[in-house]
Amino acid sequence: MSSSAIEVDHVSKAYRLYPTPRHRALELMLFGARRYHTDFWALTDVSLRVTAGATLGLIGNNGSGKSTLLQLIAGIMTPTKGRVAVNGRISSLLELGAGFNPEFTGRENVELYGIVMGMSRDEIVERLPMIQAFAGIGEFIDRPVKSYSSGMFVRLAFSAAIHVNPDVLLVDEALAVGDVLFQHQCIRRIREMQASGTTIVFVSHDMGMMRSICSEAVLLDRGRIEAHDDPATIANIYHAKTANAEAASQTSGRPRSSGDGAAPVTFRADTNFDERVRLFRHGTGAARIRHVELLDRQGRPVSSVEFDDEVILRVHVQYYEDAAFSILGFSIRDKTGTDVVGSNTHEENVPLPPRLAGDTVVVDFRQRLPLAKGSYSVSTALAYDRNKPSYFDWVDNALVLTVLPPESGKVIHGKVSLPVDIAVHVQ
Amino acid sequence: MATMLAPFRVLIAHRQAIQIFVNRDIRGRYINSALGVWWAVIQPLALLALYTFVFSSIMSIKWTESAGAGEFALYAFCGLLPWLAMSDALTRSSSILLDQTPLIKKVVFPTEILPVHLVLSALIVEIVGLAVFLVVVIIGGRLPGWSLLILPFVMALQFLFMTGVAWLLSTLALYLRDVRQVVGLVLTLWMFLTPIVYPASLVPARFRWVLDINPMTAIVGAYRAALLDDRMPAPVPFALFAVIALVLFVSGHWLFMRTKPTFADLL
Repeated sequence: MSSSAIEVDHVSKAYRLYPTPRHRALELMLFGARRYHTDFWALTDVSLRVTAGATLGLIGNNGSGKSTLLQLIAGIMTPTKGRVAVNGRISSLLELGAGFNPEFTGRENVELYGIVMGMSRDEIVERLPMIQAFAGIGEFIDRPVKSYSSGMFVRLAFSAAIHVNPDVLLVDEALAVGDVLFQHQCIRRIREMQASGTTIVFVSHDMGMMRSICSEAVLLDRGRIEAHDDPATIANIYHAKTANAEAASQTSGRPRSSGDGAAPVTFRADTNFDERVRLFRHGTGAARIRHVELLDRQGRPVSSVEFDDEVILRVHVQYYEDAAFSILGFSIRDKTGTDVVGSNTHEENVPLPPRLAGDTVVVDFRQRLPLAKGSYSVSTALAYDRNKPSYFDWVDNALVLTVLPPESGKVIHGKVSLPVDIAVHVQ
Repeated sequence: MATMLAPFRVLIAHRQAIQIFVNRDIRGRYINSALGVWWAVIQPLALLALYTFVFSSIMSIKWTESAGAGEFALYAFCGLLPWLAMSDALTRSSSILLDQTPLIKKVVFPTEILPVHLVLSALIVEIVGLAVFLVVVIIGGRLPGWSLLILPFVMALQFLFMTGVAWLLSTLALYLRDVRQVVGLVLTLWMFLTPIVYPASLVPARFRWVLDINPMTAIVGAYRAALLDDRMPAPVPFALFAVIALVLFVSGHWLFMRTKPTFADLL
């Protein structure tokens, strides 16, 4: 058996939650004589060992502790209990371009990144051409990062992270960004790294990618390891679990959140959303899309849907200036960036009411998704006028969804499966 | 002994990263301003003009019995330069970790260099100011003597002192966000309790202890001794300051490294 690259030994991680900052100060000053915090256990007694050169996939629902585990392995956080040991240089793609300074050029940012990763200046200078070529940004390398398109930014950040020759690479859903060409390039590079013995830990919701890249996988559920097996088995367990959860809630009759009929729809702004789409938006900002949710028919948030399921795309909009007229639209794109499905309030003859500054509106788009399996990104936009391409707010990658293959095993030719009648005339 | 040497090791091990950070910071200060690096001169000059007007012209404070406003300006400026560096570094270090949240939460990064680079950056700005000051002094007909050679040593101690305090402050500010508010207030008080815009000789004997326990008094005194009076700094306060600087440097680093594992949880 080869040596281990990562050892996680009975690790638990608690976050201390204080009612107010004052309580934290108070506790500090009393040297812990009184406790004011409550613990939230993000991970409980997690043990796992990754052998050098293996590629581990981490699967789990949101809040299952995947990101916490990555941060612990990266050494960014320390475990509350237990021990984490990593052999070799770690490069982490927890957030692309974290620490990049927009005022400075790509070259300067890459240099700094390399130095921080423990490389010498000479090593960095030697690799810069490779990083530049991989990112495909040409002479933009010498322009300030703030002038980059979001795609260029992401490509450069990713390129820098994989060219520091890490022994251990940690990737947190970072591959979900970028165009399809770049994704392929990344996957090819990841395979090269695998071949050269790099250990990789990989968080993704894309089961297909997981199966094709990983040598083993771990399913996390509410901070515990539920299963550690080969990727195909883990994917099956995960699918079965989500299916069971769905079935259980369906047999219970009505949606949980409502009294009678549908739950009241209330406006909700999500600061995480703003943070996440920061790079993917443009528009005047006179109104903003504050949150986008994908819900199933029962109104529960989902990220993957069965073939041909009906889903609700719920868009929360807030107006900062008066708007007598506005049009909200969405578009679902496949990995190649092709618009597959989309519409707007104008085309569907559901005009948005006039809104004053400070007003909000929440719009539900109900839509069946008879799409080929794969991951899709959703763009949403609030426009001024149908005839002019001017927008209050346009958000790409508002969310990413996965369409699972039809349970019947039917193969879909093309991108969309529309009902078809076949008549066979035998002569 | 290992604890004593550890902070010095930080400087050596991360010298390249520190260099890049300082570089970036200096450029970042002026990159988008029309007057660029001249701000390093304009800012202290503007304050100097104000203080000279208020304290010398209005309140008629004299540096020595016979000296005029020009003399006042020279002595005040000489004290103002190290003070502004101190004030700049400490104000910024109280929010540096909060400002650099992505570096702490998303990247494996030697956060201990963040306060260090702020101090170095402030000192470099100070050096620009000092160069201009020296030119003014020489034009004014006062040739600096050999005691000028002690200035690098004074600045080295000043660096240790400032870095120590910056480490302490940046850590503390994470636990207690109020620190950021307090720092501005404390710095204002501290400035007027340091003989910068008035000579120490004006302070009544019963309040002298306030100046004597203030490490900045020793720094300001050493600057004036080296740049204006051509003599060695007063040995006892200076030796005391050296000890304080070293103790703060080592203990600041110790506290920072002790609390560093919790940073990601606090943000």
